[in-house]
Amino acid sequence: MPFDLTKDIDTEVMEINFGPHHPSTHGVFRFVAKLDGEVVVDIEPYIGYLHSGIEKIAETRRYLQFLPLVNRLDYTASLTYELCLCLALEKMMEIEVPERAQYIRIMLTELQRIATHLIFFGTTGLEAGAYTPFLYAFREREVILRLIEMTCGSRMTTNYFRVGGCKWDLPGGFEDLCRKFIKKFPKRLDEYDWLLSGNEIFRDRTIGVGRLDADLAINLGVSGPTLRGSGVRFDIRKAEPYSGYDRFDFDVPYGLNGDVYDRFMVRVKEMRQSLRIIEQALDGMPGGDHIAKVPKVLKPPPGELYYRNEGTRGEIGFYIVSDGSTMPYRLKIRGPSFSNLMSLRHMMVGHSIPDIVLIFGSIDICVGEVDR
Amino acid sequence: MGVMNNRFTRPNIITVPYDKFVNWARRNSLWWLLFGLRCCAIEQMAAGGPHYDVDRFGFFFRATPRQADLMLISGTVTYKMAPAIKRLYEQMAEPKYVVAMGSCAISGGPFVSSYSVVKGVDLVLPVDVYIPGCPPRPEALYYGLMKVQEKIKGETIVVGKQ
Amino acid sequence: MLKPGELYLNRRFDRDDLLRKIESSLIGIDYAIQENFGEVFLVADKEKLYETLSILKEKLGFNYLKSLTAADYVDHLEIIYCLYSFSNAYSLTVKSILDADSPEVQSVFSLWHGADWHEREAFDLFGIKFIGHPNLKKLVLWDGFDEHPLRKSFVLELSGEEGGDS
Repeated sequence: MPFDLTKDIDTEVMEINFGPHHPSTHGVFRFVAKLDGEVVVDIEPYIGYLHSGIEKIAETRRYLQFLPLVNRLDYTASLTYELCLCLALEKMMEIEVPERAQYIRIMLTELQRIATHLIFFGTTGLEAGAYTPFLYAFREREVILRLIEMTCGSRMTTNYFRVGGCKWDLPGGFEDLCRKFIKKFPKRLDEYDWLLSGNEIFRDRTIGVGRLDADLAINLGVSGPTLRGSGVRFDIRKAEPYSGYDRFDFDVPYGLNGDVYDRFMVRVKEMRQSLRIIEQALDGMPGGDHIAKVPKVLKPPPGELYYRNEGTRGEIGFYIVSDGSTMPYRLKIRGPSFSNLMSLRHMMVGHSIPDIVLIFGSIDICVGEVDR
Repeated sequence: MGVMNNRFTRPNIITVPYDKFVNWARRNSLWWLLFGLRCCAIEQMAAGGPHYDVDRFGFFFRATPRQADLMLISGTVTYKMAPAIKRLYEQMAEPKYVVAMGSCAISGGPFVSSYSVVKGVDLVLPVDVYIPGCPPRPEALYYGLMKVQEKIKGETIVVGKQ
Repeated sequence: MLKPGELYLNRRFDRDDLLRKIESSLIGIDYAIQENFGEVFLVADKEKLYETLSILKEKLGFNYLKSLTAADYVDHLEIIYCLYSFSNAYSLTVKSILDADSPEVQSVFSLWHGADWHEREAFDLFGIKFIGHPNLKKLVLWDGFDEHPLRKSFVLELSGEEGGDS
């Protein structure tokens, strides 16, 4: 600038606290932003407001007793955590899951992935200043929750997957309702998508904002749609297929710039790919058992294992140390939002206050996984 | 409020219609605080969504405690978060009501044996209505909110008769 | 690393190839190899742990830290690093044994920035000191709570007899 107004003025950096209770922090998360005028210079996040000591409780519970607690970590997509724990235990105990159970598991997990991305879509609209996407998203979500409630017995914190398969088989009216949903949803998704991504104000606010470089993202341990928005097209469902995902035909969307718009578009496109998977699962659903023959008391052999799968926000990992008894000796849960959150300070520096809210929403964290 | 406070010791021709009118106004426009901790927060958002529309009862969410009447504790309360919750409660203006939603807020829930969870939010705040469930359905949340409305219906300006 | 936009598809690795590369790179450093459920574990010496990890990062391409955690085996502590290589698709877990009374280890923040909060959490819940970490403060526990809950010496009050018998 040829004429700098602040040249002779003594300015200081102002610290503002975005407290644990804040309408746009997606739960209890606190960070202190150091601002020079309106521009962010640095931020320091504080977490732990929802720390419930799940890892310590795991050492005093049998594996089947621990399964409902794992639902409460990422409460919007609880089946992905259950799937990871069940797959880890099945690998340790060398149990083979029947094909029908694998298809049911994949179908329900993808339904919850769509439900979670709908919440992201609605709250991104709220943060950009638009109220209607929130209402549309929650209306569509009700159909998915009805499908899941019909099968699992509960809308959100299901307790449905077991080691070896699923607790019970799909109910009678599930297929009709699911096919109706698959037929209606794509056109509606195009309409809602165009509401935000075709809007000039939204594009101006999100394109070029909050860039994350691919090398820095890998160094930080970022995963999921946040990493795919920066160009690294890595999806554990394709790279290390588990539970029968290699039999399904779907694409992995990615972005090249690593800004808020790319991360938003990756999630919207992932919803369409999930619909493809659900349709293939319904068409090719085999008959058979819904659960394998599993011993009544689960006693994995002594040893350790790190098992990971693709959750809605990134890589979910379980590190289980078993000493041969019915309770784990040590169980460590790697939540994707914990690692994704470390990239926040690198993305926010240099942006102004209205951008803070959008950048934070684009990582899409769930505080239950951050604090555990 | 104001001129009517601490004046009457028995119900009479002034207090009865006054109570009826003020309680009707208060219970049909309860503004709740947009505050969610864990899974119950998603059910709270769904209750405010289009399918279970809560605006038809006059409820509306406000982001700041200064403008809210009702605080829904929806989720696990930890020792780190408890001072913040207490401060939020103190920032709300009278008359204010607290609803404990979900088993984590009622008594610690599935995490009761943990080292960092407060065993029920009523150790921190005075609670009016408890809504059991994990998480409670939006219909269960409505039942609890109707109970709060009934509680407000029974309030009176007469001294010593609460 | 693949180019931006290229899909990582069916990335498997040959176990013998990984073991050969480890043997040829870690010359002069003592280590032991274990295998559990088909995965490779490398037990390294605590003194040369940082050197081992930096050789693994530079020569074998382990550029992604999946998880950093610890486990308490009453007479000693074990620190566990789960590593992944994007270019070669190797997956390896490195373990090391620490002293139980005053556990200290060199921080790997300079190798992987993603170790930042993982190390702070291990410091908080186990009491392990990471030398060289830029900001070693409490992360998840509140001020005034100075115990280390994930140690076996800290017993939960209500753990009871829920899972005691089979």
